[in-house]
Formats: sequence, structure tokens, C-alpha cells
Amino acid sequence: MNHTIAHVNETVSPTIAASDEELLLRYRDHRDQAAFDALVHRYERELYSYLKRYTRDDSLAEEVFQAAFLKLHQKVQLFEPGRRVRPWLYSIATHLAIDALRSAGRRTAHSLDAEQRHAEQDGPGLLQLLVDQAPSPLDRLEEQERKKWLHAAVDRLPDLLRSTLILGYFQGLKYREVAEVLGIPVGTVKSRMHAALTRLTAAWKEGQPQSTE
Amino acid sequence: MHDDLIGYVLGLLETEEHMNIDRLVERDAAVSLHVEVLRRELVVFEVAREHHSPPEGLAVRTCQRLRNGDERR
Repeated sequence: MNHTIAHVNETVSPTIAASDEELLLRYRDHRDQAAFDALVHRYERELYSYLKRYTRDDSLAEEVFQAAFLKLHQKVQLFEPGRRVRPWLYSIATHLAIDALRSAGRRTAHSLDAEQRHAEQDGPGLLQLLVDQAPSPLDRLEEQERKKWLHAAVDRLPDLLRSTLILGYFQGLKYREVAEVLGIPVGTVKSRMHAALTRLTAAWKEGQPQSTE
Repeated sequence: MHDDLIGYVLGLLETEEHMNIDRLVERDAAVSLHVEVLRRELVVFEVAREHHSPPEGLAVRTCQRLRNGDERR
């Protein structure tokens, strides 16, 4: 394992400056394994985070991450100059995630109990990122509750809206990239994003305590 | 326009589109107000925008698995 990590570190460095497209073309044309490895490492954090958010399950996220790169390897001959790797990879991963959820017999992964476990694991560290000062215990509780509510609310959205929201709002892909990943027009991405956020906002407002004064 | 303003607030527009909206926000008070309202509505969802860290060695395992798959063919 250490030898493998050292080998990867040595071979990844020269590829840092190369674009995703250059790396994949090197792999396609010359079977440059170091180039493909560099892509895997480059997307390790970003793509895993997306898949974890999409599947709400650690094991599924890891499984789909590996399957996505296996599929990328298998389809590499289809990649042409001018095409972009990032939306293609997300498209592959999204379709695999949908299949994985279907095979697992669920649309979204988690019960509220599991949401609470995730919240407890992630909570204090994430809150430190979100605020400059340490939050009070009450602030932390409210943040956890809000996060739990939001995850559940996103999971309840229709698949078409949920996919768009996760790719755009949570993952930060531009409208055009989301359109390419999902194979829909940009206008449809915009209207779905609007619809998803409108639903979330309405549900959030509905769930807030009303003033009785 | 509203959909573009959502994209503007969330950073989902292409660079030129974003700059176009920047100019519109500067010269049109109604658009500027609309953007501000959107920002306030959307900030409540920021807490769920956390990133999930991958398990240790995920990329290494993935590369190894691909190599093993290749050698078996």
C-alpha cells in the first residue's frame, strides 16, 4: 500500500498542470495510466461528496465512485477533443447512482435516525466552518435541526428537481454543465432549479413558527 | 429573468452572463432589490451545503481496482 501511494505521488505530480481533457486524451491515445490516476485523484473529493449527497449512503457513494471511473475507462474511446470531461463524468456517475439506488430498493437512502447519526458525526466540525465564533449549544441544536430538515426536504423532491438541485445548488455546477450532465436544455435546468428552490422555500416558511402577536 | 437571478445569486451562470447581471443590478434598483430578497431566502439553506469527505484511500483503491481489472483481461 505505501509503495502504491508513493508510486502514485511520483506519477501524479507531472500531471497537475494538465486539464481534465488533456489527461483523458493521454489515457485514450497512449494508455497513460498516470494520467488516468491523476483524474481519479482530482475528482476524489468532489465526486465522492456529490455521490454521498445523492445517495445518502457511504457504501453506495464509494461503490458508485469506483464504478464511474471504471465506466469512464471502458468508454474512453468515445471521448473526443472538444468534449468536456467534468459533465461527462457527472453524467456517468449520476446514472450509476440512480441505478444503484434502484437496485438497493430505495429512492433515497436514509431514515431520520440515520440523518441524526450523520448530523452528530458531521456537526461540530462543519459548524466551525460556518461561523466565526463558536456557536452556543442552542445555536448548534438549531443548526443541526435545520440541516436535518433540509436533507429530508431535498430527499422528498421529485427526482427531476432533486437531481437539478443537487448538481447546481449543492455541487456548484454551472447551468450549462447541469444541462449537459442531465441531457436537457439550459432553460429546463433553470426552470427546474426555480421550481425546486420555490418548493423548499415554501416548505421552510410553512414550517416556521408563526408569531401570535 | 427570475431564473437568471437565481443563477446569479448561486453562482451558476457563465462568466459573461454573470457580468451582464452585475451591470443590471448596478443600474436597476428593482433588480437589485430582487437579488437581495433572493439572497435572504436562500441563505437559510446554506447550512446543508457542506462537503462530504471521502473515505481514506478511496482514489488509491479505485486506481488499484482498475489496474486489477485490466490485468485480468
